[in-house]
Amino acid sequence: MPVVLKPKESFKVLVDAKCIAPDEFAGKSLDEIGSLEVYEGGFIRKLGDLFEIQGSPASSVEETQIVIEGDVWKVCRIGEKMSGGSIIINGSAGHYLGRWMRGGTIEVKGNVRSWLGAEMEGGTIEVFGNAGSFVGGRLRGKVGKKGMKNGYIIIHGSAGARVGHGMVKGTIIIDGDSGPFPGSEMMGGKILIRGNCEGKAGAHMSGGSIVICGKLPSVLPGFYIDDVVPKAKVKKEKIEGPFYLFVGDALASLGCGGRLYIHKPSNPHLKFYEELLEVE
Amino acid sequence: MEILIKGGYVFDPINGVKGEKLDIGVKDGKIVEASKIDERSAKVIDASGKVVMPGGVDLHSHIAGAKVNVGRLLRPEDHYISFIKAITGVKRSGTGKTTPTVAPIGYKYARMGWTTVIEPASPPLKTRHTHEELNDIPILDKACFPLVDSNWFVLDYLSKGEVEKCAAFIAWLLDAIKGYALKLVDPGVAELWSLGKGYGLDLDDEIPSFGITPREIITGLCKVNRMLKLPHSIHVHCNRLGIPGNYTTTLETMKALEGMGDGIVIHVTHAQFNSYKGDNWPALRSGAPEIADYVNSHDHVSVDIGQIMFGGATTMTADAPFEFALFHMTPIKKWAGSEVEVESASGIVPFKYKKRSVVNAVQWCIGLELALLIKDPWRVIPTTDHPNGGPFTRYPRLISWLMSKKAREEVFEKINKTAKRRSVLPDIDREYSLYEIAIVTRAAPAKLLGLEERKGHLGEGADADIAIYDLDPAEGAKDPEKIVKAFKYAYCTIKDGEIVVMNGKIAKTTYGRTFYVKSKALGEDLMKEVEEEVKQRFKEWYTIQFSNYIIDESEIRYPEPIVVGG
Repeated sequence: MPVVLKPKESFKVLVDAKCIAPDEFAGKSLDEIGSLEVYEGGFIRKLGDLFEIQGSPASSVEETQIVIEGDVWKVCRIGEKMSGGSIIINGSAGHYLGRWMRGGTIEVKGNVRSWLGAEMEGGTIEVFGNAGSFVGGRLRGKVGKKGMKNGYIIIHGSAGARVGHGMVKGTIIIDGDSGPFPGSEMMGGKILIRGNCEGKAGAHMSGGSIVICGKLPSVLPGFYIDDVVPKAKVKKEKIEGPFYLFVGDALASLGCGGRLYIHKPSNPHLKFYEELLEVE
Repeated sequence: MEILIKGGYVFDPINGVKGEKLDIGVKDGKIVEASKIDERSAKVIDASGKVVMPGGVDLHSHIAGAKVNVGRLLRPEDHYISFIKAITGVKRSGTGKTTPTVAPIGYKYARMGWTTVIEPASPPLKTRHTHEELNDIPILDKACFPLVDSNWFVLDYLSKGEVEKCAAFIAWLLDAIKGYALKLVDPGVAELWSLGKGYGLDLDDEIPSFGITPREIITGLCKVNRMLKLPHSIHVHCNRLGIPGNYTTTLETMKALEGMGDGIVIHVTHAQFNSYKGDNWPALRSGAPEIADYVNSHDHVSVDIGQIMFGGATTMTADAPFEFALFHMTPIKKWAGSEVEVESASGIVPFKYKKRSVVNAVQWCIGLELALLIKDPWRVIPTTDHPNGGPFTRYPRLISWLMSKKAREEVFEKINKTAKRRSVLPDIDREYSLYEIAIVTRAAPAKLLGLEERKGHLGEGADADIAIYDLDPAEGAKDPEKIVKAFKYAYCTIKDGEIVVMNGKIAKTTYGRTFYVKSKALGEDLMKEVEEEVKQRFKEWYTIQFSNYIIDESEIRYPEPIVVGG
């Protein structure tokens, strides 16, 4: 039996609700859940003031299921640091959904704003609408291996800029289009974009791979063409090509550890790269 | 408001009170005799079983100014998880750990029982910014030291041998920008850095553009300092900071000022970074015993230690070439640097001190060796050079290391073993008493700053800045964890007769004064002559107007001039 949260009225200002997570709810009664602190703008409120809370919470984190009925697109930090259980949002969600999450699943029926699954370490996030920028990204100012460390994000709509910024491991799949700079500064992991990309794919990447099945306006000058391959593989799924395979970014590492697969039939304007390939 | 603090163990080194049970009265923001307070109408604080000390004084902590602000911008990651909540009417909100925003600086210091803090490096041109930030720091009394070592006016006058004119310029400058004492950062290095050079500038290397050496700058400014009768000695960050083998430079700097006059003529700041022996980083050894020997046998020097604390830090200093070199040494690949026209340059690099690193572990030993080997507690101040060695919020831990050998041994078990072999720290048995802690954190810095009449003691007429710690001097002072707990959250802090902290929580937001110095030691004719000269050259050298340079008293929230030499 899940815990069902229903917003009492539409939110006027951003709400900071990092307490909406299975780790916080597990083993608590409905009254205790209702008295958890949230910030509405600059003011401290109770969770029960903003949401109608129903259902029966489970005793362990794994069994806890949270269902949010309605739009919470101004509610930030849902599922922060969650390590298990599940959250289902029947509406749109706000910033920092599933930040630092370590396990469990999050399912969003609507859209999400920026920083979805930022710096996450495990678990699965599925979004049926669109996502904002910095999906699975590294927070501002951090350096080194601080991006998405593991886990799986799938977005059935489109995503904004800098998908997988600084990611280290894990998989991000976008069924729609992507904004500019997907996989910027990435060090590992995989990104699959089934739609078009606005450009600048893999800027400053030093590892991992990006697969773009749609149109890419141009490839950054830090990349070298390596080969034309018939198929690309992401999470056991084989994607029919053929693909141009680029390696780079030479500006980030001379080893050119990053791999960029660009769908050949969708990108006829990249044909001149084939002349640069050595013919055996 | 009248306050009576009853039955506490009072530690007041300036008046020679060593933990006796005394009552202390507070009236109109000043300390008065307890008998003059009417117990029925006053607020009575029961301090029985607790330690009562004057409010803490920190003479070196980078809390405000342009470079601190750049540090905040450079490190958003420092602000994600640390924040304090606002409580309407009681306290303001803020974030940050090593580079906190203005409000937490005041609150966190007050929560530890500190009430006076000095910003030690502010380029004169940027001092308006410094004062704007100081104005907004709650609770604390503060002051700022302008940077003068690479100022073209100073270099020009000193290279021509016109010390008197230089003194007149400095007197004008301190008054114009509301500074308190003279800060020298790696003397002369900013002038060379504007040419892209300057790393490792030694005491006798010449600065070509003015034909002057750092030795001449230091001795010249020391003479100026004496001439103007400034309350604090020159505050020197020595040459070749952070370069292995630099302890000889530090010794030379101190030797250069022998015989300059009575009393303390030089304050060597964050001496830990300047006490390195060895030819390179892997072979780093401690030069602390040599420095300590010198300080013990000469009475014209005072030092603060600049202890490093393991964990995150943000190094920020006006020694730009060193920061540039440090940037290339650290794995955290970001830095910021800036140059201030005519006056100074600075750099900022985020840093993390690691227990397993030989260098960091040796640095940790050097700081404590300095504090423990220098015998006179009136001349050695424990600081972390916030935020270079670590944030000031870790002073309680530093105090526990000074007070307990056991606490130091616990750290030795966790840190790099090579450092233990290279250090004399394991052989030092000295432990500070609470009385000595009261000296080094309160009385001595107040005295070095020349504020001993109103700060750092609990005698009649002093400002009512009082800290009460929940610590039993007999039992608790032996347990490091109890010391840390007591100093981390003061039971009560009183600032200017107002209770600002109660039970370790902020009770009220007040705003303190900003001290600055007006020196009237020189004749008016000379002052006028030099001011005219400065006005003329200002047009050539600066991109701003002369009239915009001068900071008016009205720009400071509570200005407090200290007139000297009149």
